[in-house]
Amino acid sequence: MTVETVLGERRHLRISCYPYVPHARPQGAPGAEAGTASEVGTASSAGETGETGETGETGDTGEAAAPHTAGVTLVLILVDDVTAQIEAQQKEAAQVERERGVQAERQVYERGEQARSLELVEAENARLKQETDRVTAVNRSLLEANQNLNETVLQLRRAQDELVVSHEEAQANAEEVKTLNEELQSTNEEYVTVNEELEATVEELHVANDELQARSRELQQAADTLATQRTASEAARARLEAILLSLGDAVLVVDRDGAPLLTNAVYAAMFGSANVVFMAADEVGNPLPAEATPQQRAARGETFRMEFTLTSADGTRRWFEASGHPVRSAGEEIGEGVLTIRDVTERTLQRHLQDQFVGLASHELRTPLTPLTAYLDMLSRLFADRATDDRARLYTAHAQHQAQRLQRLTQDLTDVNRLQSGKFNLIMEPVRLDEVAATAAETAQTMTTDHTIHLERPETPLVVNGDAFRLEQVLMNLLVNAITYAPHTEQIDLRVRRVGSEAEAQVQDYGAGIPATDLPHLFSRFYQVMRTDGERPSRRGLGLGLYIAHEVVTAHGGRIEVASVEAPRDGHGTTFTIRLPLAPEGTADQPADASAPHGAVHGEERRTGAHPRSKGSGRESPSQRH
Amino acid sequence: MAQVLVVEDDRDTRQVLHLILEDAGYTVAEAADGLEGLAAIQASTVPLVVLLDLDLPKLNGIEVLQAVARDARLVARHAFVLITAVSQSQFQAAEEICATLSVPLVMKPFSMDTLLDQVASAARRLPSIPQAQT
Repeated sequence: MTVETVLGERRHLRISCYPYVPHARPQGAPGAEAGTASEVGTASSAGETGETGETGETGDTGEAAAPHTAGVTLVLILVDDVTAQIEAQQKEAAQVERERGVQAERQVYERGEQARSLELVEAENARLKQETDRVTAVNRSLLEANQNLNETVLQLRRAQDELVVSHEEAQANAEEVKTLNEELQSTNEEYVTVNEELEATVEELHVANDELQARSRELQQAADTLATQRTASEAARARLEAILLSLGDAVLVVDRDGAPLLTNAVYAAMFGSANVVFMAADEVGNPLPAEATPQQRAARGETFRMEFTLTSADGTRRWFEASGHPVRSAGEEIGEGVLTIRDVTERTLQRHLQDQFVGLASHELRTPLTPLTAYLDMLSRLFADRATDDRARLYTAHAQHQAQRLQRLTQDLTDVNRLQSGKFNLIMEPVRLDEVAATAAETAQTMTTDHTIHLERPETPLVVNGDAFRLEQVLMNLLVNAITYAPHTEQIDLRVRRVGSEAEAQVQDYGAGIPATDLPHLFSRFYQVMRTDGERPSRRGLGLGLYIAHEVVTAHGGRIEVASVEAPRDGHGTTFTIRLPLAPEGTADQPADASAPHGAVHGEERRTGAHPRSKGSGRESPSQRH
Repeated sequence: MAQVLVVEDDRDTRQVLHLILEDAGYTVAEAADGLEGLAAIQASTVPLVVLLDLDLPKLNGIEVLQAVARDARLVARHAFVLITAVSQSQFQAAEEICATLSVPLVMKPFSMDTLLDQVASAARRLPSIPQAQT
């Protein structure tokens, strides 16, 4: 409702009424409120403001609240000042009314305009439609033409493709043909070459065939030769086997290490089996050093002769002599050696017995010689002192002479015994060989009346370093030999001279000579030359003189040789030559003098004792012994 | 004259030595082996010239001399001459003992002159013989 204030100001109020029911349950307060609002609506519609919205709303509420009013005894009225709100609503409604008028005017205008435009568009549309139909027709014909063209183009393209393929095939074929042609050409060339080669080969084959034929002929000849050689070699082998079998000596072939390569039956019999390796020992049974065994010496290619022993398990010792030679093929040593081995046990034992016998004999023969010589000396003195029969004196002299012979023989035996046992010593000093020779010649002359001993000696002294006693013994042996073996000759020559750096003594007889077969054995002990003329020498001796001479000369560093022509009554006879090294310069002035005191005493020479030889001590000159 | 002891195993040799020495005026005693000889040497109160053979039974000449060398009185009293045939193995020992005692060596067979020379020489080396002995 609208009211006017005292200040003339118009104010809008809202009145709300609420019935009060004391026992009614206040259910639905809003309902109650709505009843109240309806009253307001009524009031508002009764107002002068004309507010559409307000009135409507309040009217609804008034109608809803009406039934409750009848019973109401109490009403609650609420008044609100809503002026501001109403004024704002009125302003807004006016504004909306104005805008609604403007818009209607514009719509009328626009509708006119649209009608005009529509007419224009429809005209234009009709025209365009005609045009479009025409264009569509043209377009349709164009499409058809285009389609035709396309088809044609396609056909053409296919044709072209086919043409390209055909062309390529043709080109490939052409190339194949060309290649084939080239191949054929080269093949042809090869055929030509091969043909040429074949021709050359045929030529070579011809040549080769000729050569083969020639070679075949050579081979045939070689085969013939080989067959001949094989026959010869088989014969040689058979001969060798026969030789090996028939040999009394063992044969051993060793390789370069000394191992056995080949043996013969005697070897197997001698040592137990064909492959056994024997261990050689020395004279007293000590094993030889490895390098000194016959196997090793033969393996080294030495040419030698040696003796060794083997002692069996039962202690018996056997002696063997081995000689070794290298095997040479075409002048070259091939690292093999051959040994021939001989069992010399019997010989050795005989020699040992001989040595023992010589030792014993020399002693036993010498023993009675001492009193014999002494008695003859006494007898000789006895006759010298008294006047007695001349025959007694003569016989005594003969007996003394024979005793001296006996003494010389026993002396030879003694010397041999010492040489064998290695106890032969020399007293070396400067010796005038010319003087020694003169003494020997003088003494030998007393032993023969048939011969004249002719001495040739240099004018100057000839000094050697030696044992005067032994050198005189050597010359005496040679002279006595000449006297003995050259009977019925007149002259024996003894020549002493200087030859280069050596002194030479030569004894030459003019007898029947010595057989050549005897010469190699001449200096062996007990060796005696058998006379071919059957004549027995007056004195043969023991066969020791030359052996002793050889040993003595060798011990002096010299050598002795013999030259002989066996020609009975030819007159050349036999010549023994001794060569001794000369004493060094400076010793020649002081040669050993027979009267000089004998200094050092060695070995058997001790018999001279500390006494001068001139005093006639036990050491007699060999000359004195005759 | 001096007294000579001949120590020699060969009876014939001993006998001829005896004869020779007796002829020469010596008084001679004999022993046939080394032991016997050594006993005679040791027993003798008078100086002796001992002719001693090297090769003797029982004791050889060297051993006899070695025994003598151990007794200075025997060395001073007697003179020795060693006689030998050949007994080479004993020479080394012989050389030593002969040098020690100044003993000369005479080789068999010997000449009478040689033997008598050696005996006379040895006799001169003996100490002077007491007057009573002559």
